Order: sequence, then structure tokens, then C-alpha cells
Amino acid sequence: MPFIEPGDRTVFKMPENYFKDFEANLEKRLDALEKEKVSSNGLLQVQTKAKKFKFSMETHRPILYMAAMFVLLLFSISLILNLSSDKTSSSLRLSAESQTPSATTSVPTAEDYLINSIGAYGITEYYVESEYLK
Amino acid sequence: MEKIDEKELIQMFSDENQRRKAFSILVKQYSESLYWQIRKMVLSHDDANDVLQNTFLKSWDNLSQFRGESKISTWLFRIAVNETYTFLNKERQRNQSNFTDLEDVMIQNLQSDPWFSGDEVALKLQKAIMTLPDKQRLVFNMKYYDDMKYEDISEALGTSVGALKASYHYAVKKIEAFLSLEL
Repeated sequence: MPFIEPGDRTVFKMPENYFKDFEANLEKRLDALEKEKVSSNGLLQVQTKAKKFKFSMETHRPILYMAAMFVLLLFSISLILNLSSDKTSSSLRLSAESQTPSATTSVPTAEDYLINSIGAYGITEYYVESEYLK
Repeated sequence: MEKIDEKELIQMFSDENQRRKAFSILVKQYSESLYWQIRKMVLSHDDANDVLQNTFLKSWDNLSQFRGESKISTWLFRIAVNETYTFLNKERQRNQSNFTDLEDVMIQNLQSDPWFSGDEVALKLQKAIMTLPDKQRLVFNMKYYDDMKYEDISEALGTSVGALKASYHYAVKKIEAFLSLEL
């Protein structure tokens, strides 16, 4: 078996100074890769921060929604209350106005006439005098 | 070439400031032997160059994880072997879509390769070696071309000496059978 002997690799050639060039090329490629890694790390950090913010927004979203709903509810309740108080005050005002007799519109009754003609002082005086007389 | 003890080199790997320097030494020390292992598997110089670059880039990526449980040469050799297998599998898949055998394509390329200076017999031997499965081819190359001891091959590939002997024996038989038909 003449060919099965510890062989040499002289049948394979390679360019001159290949290993020196290889080292230099590899160094260049490593430099480029390291730079790329640094820049991608920066980008990754920004992305991670954005992701964290998004995550916190997502986890807190129900709470935020509930808070917003609560504020909206309070606002609408206060608005309704304001409106209703306005309505009642205006209706009260209206009713008060309607109850107060105005000089122009109301017709004086007999009672009114008596009260107006006697007056508060006159009645007390009347009673006091009548007590003394007794 | 600056030769540094393995222990010292491993210590340098763990220090971030010295890692790059250690890696340069590593490349200087092992690029040639790794190149030849890869070259005998992929045959073309350009492909061997690509695979060798990928090997070192992968080792750079995993350098911080290297704890010195095995020899640096063994660790690098295993990365190189994995990268070679990955390359060959990818090429096989690419050629499958064209209904061609990678082995035939590699031999055809070798015939016109300016970096191959073998005669017709050398080319036929390469053809015969190409008929072997990848792992058997690797064992054959390490024994036939580099005259490595079975113990060293066993350490590098993580295969028992007995299995390696059997593998080499069958490889030689297959090559003999192929060449007896060809020559």
C-alpha cells in the first residue's frame, strides 16, 4: 500500500504571508465587531429602557384607567350636583318669589288688612293695658 | 513567535484588559495548525480561510466562558471541527437544491484550484478520501497526514482509542477499494 503512508500536505498551497495577513484581518474584523457591539449595546440599553417603561405602563395601565375613571366619575358627580343645586336654588328662588305677595299683583285679604292696621306694637299695648285694667 | 504558558494565557483571558492581547497570542500560536485541519476537510483555501476566521471569532465570543477545564488547543480544535461540520452541512444543503453532490463539486473545484498542486494520483486520493463520512475523514486526515498518536486524537475528538483505530482501519479499507477501481 504505497500511498497509505504518513503523508505530507505539500499538495495544498496557500498565498504567501497568509498567516500574517490572516492575523491582521482578524484584528480588523474584531475591532469592527467590538465597535458594533458597543453601539448595539447602547441601542440595546435604550431599547431596554423603552421596554421597561412600556412594561411598567402595561402593568400599571389598569390602575391608571381606574384612576382616570375615578376622576371622571368625581367630576361628573360634582357637575351633576352643581347643576341640581343650581336648579333647586333657582326653583326655590322662583317659589319664594311666587309666595311673596307683590304690591302690584296680590289682592289684600281681610287678615292682611287687620294686621296692617293694628301693627305689632298696638296689639301688645292692647294686651298689657287690658291686664292692668283688671 | 511569542510563546506563553497555557496557565498564563488562561489568567490573561480572565483579565478584561489583557484579553485582547491574550487572544492575539492565541491566534499566532494556533492559526497554522487549525488551518491545516480545516483545509484538509474543506479542500479549498478560501473556504478554509472563512472557517478559520469563524473559528477564532467564535472562540473570542466564548473566551470569557473558558475555564481551563481542557487544553486551549483541544478547545480550539473542537470549535474548528464544529465550524467545519457546520460549513460542510450548509454546503450540502445548498447543493441538494441543485441536485448535485457536495463531494463531486469539491473535487471539481480542487481540479481548478490554483492552491492545489497535486498530480492525478493525489487528486484520486482526495476523491477516495471524499467518499468517507465527515468524522471518519477527519480521523483519517489526522492519522495519515499528521501522523498523530491515537491518544492525542482521542483527547482532541473525545472518542476512545479503540473506536479511532477501528475507524481508521475501515477508512483505509474503503480508500484502497476505491483506488483499486480507479487506478
